[in-house]
Amino acid sequence: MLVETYQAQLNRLLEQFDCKIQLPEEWAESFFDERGVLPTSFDERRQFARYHFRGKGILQVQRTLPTIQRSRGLYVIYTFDIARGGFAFLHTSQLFPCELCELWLPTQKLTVEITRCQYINSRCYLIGSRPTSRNLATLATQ
Amino acid sequence: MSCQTAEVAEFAIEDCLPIHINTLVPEQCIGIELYIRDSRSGRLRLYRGENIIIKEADRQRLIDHDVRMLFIKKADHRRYQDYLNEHLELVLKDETKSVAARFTTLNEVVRDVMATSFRSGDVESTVKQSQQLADHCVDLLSRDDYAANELLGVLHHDYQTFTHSANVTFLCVLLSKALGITHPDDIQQIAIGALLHDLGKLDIPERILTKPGKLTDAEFDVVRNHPKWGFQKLCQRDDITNAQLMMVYQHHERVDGGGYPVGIPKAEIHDWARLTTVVDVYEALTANRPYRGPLRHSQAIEIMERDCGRVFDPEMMQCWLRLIKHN
Repeated sequence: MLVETYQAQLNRLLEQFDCKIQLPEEWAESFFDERGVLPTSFDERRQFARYHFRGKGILQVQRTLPTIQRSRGLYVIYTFDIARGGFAFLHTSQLFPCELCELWLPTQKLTVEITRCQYINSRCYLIGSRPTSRNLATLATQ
Repeated sequence: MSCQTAEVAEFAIEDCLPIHINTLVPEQCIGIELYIRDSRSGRLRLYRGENIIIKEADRQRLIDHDVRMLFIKKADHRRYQDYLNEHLELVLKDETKSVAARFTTLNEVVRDVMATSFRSGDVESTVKQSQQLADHCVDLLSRDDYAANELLGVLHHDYQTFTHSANVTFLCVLLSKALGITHPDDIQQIAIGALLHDLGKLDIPERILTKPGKLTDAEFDVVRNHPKWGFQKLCQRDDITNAQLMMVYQHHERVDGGGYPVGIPKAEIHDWARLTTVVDVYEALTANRPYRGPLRHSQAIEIMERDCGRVFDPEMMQCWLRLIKHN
């Protein structure tokens, strides 16, 4: 029996689930074309450069919080940007700090802890996270 | 003033914690040495030994001499909190005292206990103390003979986080009742959530919290983290409800979506968080701040009316305005 590769598994999941994220109009046209290092601002306080990292992935909440009810379903996410210590993605609903999620990214799986969440529209939240185990440095430069 | 000092002992003020004289129950032995500040040297000297009973006349004499605060050694703070918890109920149930007098005592106790808990940075202790204090707040503020203006008259208005948290708690209980929240469990939970709503400020450096001038963008970014930090301190607990967590996490959200930390619009902000926002801003405007004095009620109302529908939920705002204008 043939073993399904990670990439094939991910593609199968992406085909299986609809993406319900609603990109804002100003992002929609070129969202997936963005490449390279994000520009910094004059008062930039980030330690490491961030890179555009646009694609699709799958999210599953691994551990939520005692007072929050969530299903263990799979959701399509849009990957957003990446840095040495963190990873951002778009999701259809709000996630809270300290929740743990497993992400199926184009090249690897990653377990992350949610660190922040920003409302874009009612079907689009920009979520900041940090990996619980592996360093993102290699992924950031791929 | 002349004080009956049991022996000569002096302490530097940094080694002690201030306590309000209203938290001392007359005719009871506190079991802790009490110190008084010497008006000339500024140092603390022994006022009463640990086994000396404080009489009502002693308390009155202190008030006559304009002394409101005594001091205890930092090492005694746990014993002091035990004393407060043990005796507070006695004071609050003393029908010979007016409701206003009992509220004054409760207010001092809440401030003292929250101050000590906040300073210790011990979340476990802070949550436990909040739960106990919330019971007392709700009991006293749920009385039929209680008037809101009595409460507004005795609140302190310094800029300390624990004072603000105590005030917001009393005011949240008032507003929730005015909004028709009647179940005692709900009101008690709101009181606990309000006591904890600024817990994340423990992580903001003191120099930023007390900075007399305008905050830089970088400093303001630090301040904007406090709802998230408070949430992170409490979110794994099973004795905190989702609604209470949202009071902590969402009390700086605005109904037009321009708030922080998430920027969600009204429909996604929890009712109790929107309630907290109204009271939180009112209390902040009418309190002393390092960078300005307190605003008059009329000025605070004017500012808040301007932001009604943008920052504040109009329904809650109208209810709040009726409540404070009436009083």
